[in-house]
Amino acid sequence: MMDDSSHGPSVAIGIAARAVAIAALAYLVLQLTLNRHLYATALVLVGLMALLTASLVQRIGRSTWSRSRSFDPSLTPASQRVSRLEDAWQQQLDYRQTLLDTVAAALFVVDEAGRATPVNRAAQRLAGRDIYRLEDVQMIGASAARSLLALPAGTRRIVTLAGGQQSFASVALFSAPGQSPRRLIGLQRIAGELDAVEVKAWQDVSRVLAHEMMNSLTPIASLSESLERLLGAPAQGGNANARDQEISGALEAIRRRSQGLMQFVEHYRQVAQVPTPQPCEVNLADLLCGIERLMAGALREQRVRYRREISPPELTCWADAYLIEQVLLNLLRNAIDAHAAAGVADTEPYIEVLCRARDGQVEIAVIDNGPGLRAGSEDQIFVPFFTTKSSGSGIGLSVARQIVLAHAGRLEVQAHSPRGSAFVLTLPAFFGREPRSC
Amino acid sequence: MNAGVAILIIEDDADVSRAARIVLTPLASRVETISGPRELAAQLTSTSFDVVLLDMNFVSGERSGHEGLDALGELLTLDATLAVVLMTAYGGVALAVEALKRGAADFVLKPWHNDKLLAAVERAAALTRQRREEETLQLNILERRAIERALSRHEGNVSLAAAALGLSRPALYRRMSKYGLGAE
Repeated sequence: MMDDSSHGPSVAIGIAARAVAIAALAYLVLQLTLNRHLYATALVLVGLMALLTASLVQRIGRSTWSRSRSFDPSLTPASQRVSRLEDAWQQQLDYRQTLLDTVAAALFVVDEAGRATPVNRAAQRLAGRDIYRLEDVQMIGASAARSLLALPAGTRRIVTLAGGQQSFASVALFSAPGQSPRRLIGLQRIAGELDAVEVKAWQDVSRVLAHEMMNSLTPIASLSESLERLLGAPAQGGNANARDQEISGALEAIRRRSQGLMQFVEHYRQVAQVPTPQPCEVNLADLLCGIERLMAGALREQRVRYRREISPPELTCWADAYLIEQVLLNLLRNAIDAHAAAGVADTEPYIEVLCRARDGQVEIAVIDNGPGLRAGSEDQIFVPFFTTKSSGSGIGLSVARQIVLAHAGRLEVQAHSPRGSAFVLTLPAFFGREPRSC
Repeated sequence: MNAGVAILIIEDDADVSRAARIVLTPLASRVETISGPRELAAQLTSTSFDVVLLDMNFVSGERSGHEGLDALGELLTLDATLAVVLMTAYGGVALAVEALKRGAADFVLKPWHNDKLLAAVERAAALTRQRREEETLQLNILERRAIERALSRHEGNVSLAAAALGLSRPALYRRMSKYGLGAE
């Protein structure tokens, strides 16, 4: 009895803490799936939730067991109550396991020693037989297992498994109190979806490419064919001058369009080779100060009011400062161009940059009250070489999105009310860095 | 060579316009270029053309070809006899079929071969000429029938028939002799 009374409060606190954590996770999962559509992250959290629940059940089991042992066996109502409780928890445990089994992603837990445990049916199916290490899973293979284990916590990445199958991997680090940290690795098969996305992307790009190339090739092909005729035609008296002018005009156009094509190929190379981010901690206020200095002239010229808000003011993100600067410069330049193209002064033009921490992520919104996007072009604007500007290369936004994706972030566009558009950049707070604590 | 075809080129790319103009010059009595369908109405009402060469995509970044189809509709409303040749770098079969259904005479894909473009515009010019001749012919037939009917209604009385048709007597006589109709 003495033993029990001294342990009672700490056990209760432990159980309560877990219950609260489970509830919080459940809320987060609900938020992620319903509002943010971050299914992969939600999956990982569901896994975490299951583990916490298991440990909760263990803890309660232990405490009820010790209590029931210390109780007088003649007090049957109490022991019945306990057994009912045990049944309820067993049911809850079964429920959680069923829930885990319905998850399509294969979930593995790997401890510090490298021992891997499949935690749901999809993982057991992938493993096929009893495994000790992740690399024992034939379907994953040694090299994919190594790269999975090397991924920092919080990573979401496409990994090619042994059979050439592509999987979307997400890694989380967690540790129960008093235990060494473990990894939760989720693997979601994406072959079909990826193929469709790749084909779509390829079609989009090739359509834009064809359009741009054909537009430049049309005058080149036709004018060079015509030059032959123009040069062969006898100059009739006073027409010689006009003919020479026609010829030099045609040559000039051919030269200009050929150079345009070369530049186009140069841009293509830029899109194809976005550098790997070298992340470090970036103070957003410092970053924006530099960018504002660069854009001040253009803002003044277009008479655009500029406002920036960072909350909290000392907000930082973990990113490649140079690359993110490129993205923001691009978004600001687009916003200014939108105002310039609109050319109407019926509203006072403004651009706002709003930075805030949200759900453990950093969100940077670049908002303008320009004419906004044409309906239906929200998807197109990120397609390489798509442009609505007469002198645009059409690579700005596509490179920007690639950079943000390389940071495991997102770049999306929304209409801004009452007019204009809002480009929202979301960066994970811990990109390329292990979280400080779990 | 023809008597000379009056050609209007509607194309936002100045170099493409220039290339088309050079190709078509030997065929044309007059080639004019405008960069978009905005000035269309003013151009067509002040002067008449035999062929219009119309680019399908005016708004940069817009590749659906809707601007071209809209401009085609406008052109044919202004002058139904006008043969319109569409050109596009990106259109595919669907757009071509749609354009032909809406009354385009022909379709040229960019980049074109000069002789193909020339041939298409030449065919289009012939089509315009034929349509205009037919239109005149039809007007003549209608006029002749109206005169015949008016004359028979008024039992050959030229004065009454002329009044019914809203013509002067000499004007009706001129038309009767044109169609070889005699007053009974």
